[in-house]
This record gives sequence, C-alpha cells and structure tokens, in this order.
Amino acid sequence: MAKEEEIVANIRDGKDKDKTFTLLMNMYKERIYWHIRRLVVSKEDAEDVLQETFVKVYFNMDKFKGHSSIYTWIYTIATNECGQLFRKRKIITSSYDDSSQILLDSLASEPSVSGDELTINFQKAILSLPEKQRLVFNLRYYDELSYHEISEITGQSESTLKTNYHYAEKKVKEFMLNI
Amino acid sequence: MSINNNNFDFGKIGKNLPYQSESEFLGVATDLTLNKINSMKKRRRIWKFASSVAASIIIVLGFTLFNNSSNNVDINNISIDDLISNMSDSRLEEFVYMVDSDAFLVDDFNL
Repeated sequence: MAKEEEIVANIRDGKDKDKTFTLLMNMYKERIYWHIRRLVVSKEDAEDVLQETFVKVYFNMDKFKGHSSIYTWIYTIATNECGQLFRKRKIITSSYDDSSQILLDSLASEPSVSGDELTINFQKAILSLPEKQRLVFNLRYYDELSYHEISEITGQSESTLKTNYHYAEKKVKEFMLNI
Repeated sequence: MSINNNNFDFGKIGKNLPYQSESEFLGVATDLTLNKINSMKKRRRIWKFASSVAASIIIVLGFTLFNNSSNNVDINNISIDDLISNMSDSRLEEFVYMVDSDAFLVDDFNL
C-alpha cells in the first residue's frame, strides 16, 4: 500500500511527525477501534483505549523500526492497552470465568448494543472464551489476519495460535448449538 | 435465522457486531487524540522546566553550602583541580554524582 510505505518512510526520516501521525491514525483508527471494542465491549472504554493506543503510537513512532508491518505494531499496542485496562479493572483474575462474566455483564448493560439475537448470542459465545482463545478468534475471524500476523501481535507461536483458534471455533459452535 | 444442528455455519452470522455504528466518535477521534497529545507535550515541557529549575537550585545550594564550609576558598579564583583536591571524600562523591546526573546536561537548560 503506497500510503503505508509513505508513512513508514516518514517515520524513519522523522519528518513532519504530526502530519504522519494524522495520516496513520486516519488510516487505522476504525480497524483498531473495532478490535478494541470487541475486546473491551464497553463503548466508553473502547474510545479511551483507542486514544491511549494512538497517544502511545505518537510518542513511540521513532522506535518503530519496520521489522513488522505498521498495523500489526499498532494492533500490539492496542491489545496491550486492553490488557492494561483489564488489569486496572481487575478483570484478569485467577479464573477466566470471572473475566468472561464481567464482559458478558458489560454486553448486557451496554446501551449501544443493537442487533438480532443471533449476532448477540454469537458475541456472548466469543466473550465466554478464555482470554487467549478470544483474542486469536477475534483477530482471525473478524480482522482476517494471518497466523503469522497474529503471532507478531501476541508473541505466541503460530502452532499455539492454530490450536487456540481450533478450540475457540469448536467452543463457539457448541455454544451456538446449545442456546 | 436457524442454525442446523449438525452443520453450524459461521457464514450465516458474518462479521456483524451487535453494536451501533461509531461514525460520530471516529469522525473526531484523530482531533481528540491530537489535542490530548498536545496537552501531554505541554505538561511534559512544564515538568522538564520545573525539574531543571529544581536541579539548578540544588546545584546552587550545594555550591553555596560547600563554599561556606570551605573557609578561605574563593571558588572564582581556583581551578577545578584545586577544588577537587580540597574536597573531602564524601563531598567528592557528591560532586561526582552531580556531574554524572542529568543536572549538568546542557540541553536541560536550553528550554
């Protein structure tokens, strides 16, 4: 993508940081927003985390060396920011059921939730997954990222990701068939 | 929409999410983030300035105290070698620490 190459070149040369950042954010904000939203559920949290993500992107732009693609780099920051939010909220607990339950409660109380029953149940099925399976399922199913890209984001091996996705898919199917 | 028990089809669900469109927020997200970045930059500049001022005060106080306690030594008329040779071990340690620290970085004073 020509624009992406231009952005990476600008980052490397360190020129016109604000303009480069605006290009970058306009290019990826929607995609990253929905990635965050799928993980944190709440609209307000997603908006905060999106801003925090891009603030980090701005202040760390000069550290981007181009070893990975720029969007997987932003996805990594966004995913880490979601993790930080979970830690702040103490969503990550010793039992994944607790974190899932909190996210499911958030889905039930979220005022901006709309859609047919099937779509809502599908979301419930995903939110019921353990955290790692939930992440790989979202990145693979919705964002259609390759295992290689997901590996860059999560730092897990491709074989682990394939296994996690396989189990996630199986559990989602079971959930949907049992409702 | 029904789901066949033996053959669950993800295609029937597609990529839809049960959330309303966020075009309103996304339309202003870049500006909001840039505003946040600018206010953070301002805060960082203020903090940097304040810490430089604090460092300068500590240096001046340090030298004043040093000067007062070292009788008959005029700091303007002696070389740095003389200064160092007249220092006690603990003062020399303090001096080396200050030189090594950011307090003496020229950049910090060019705000």
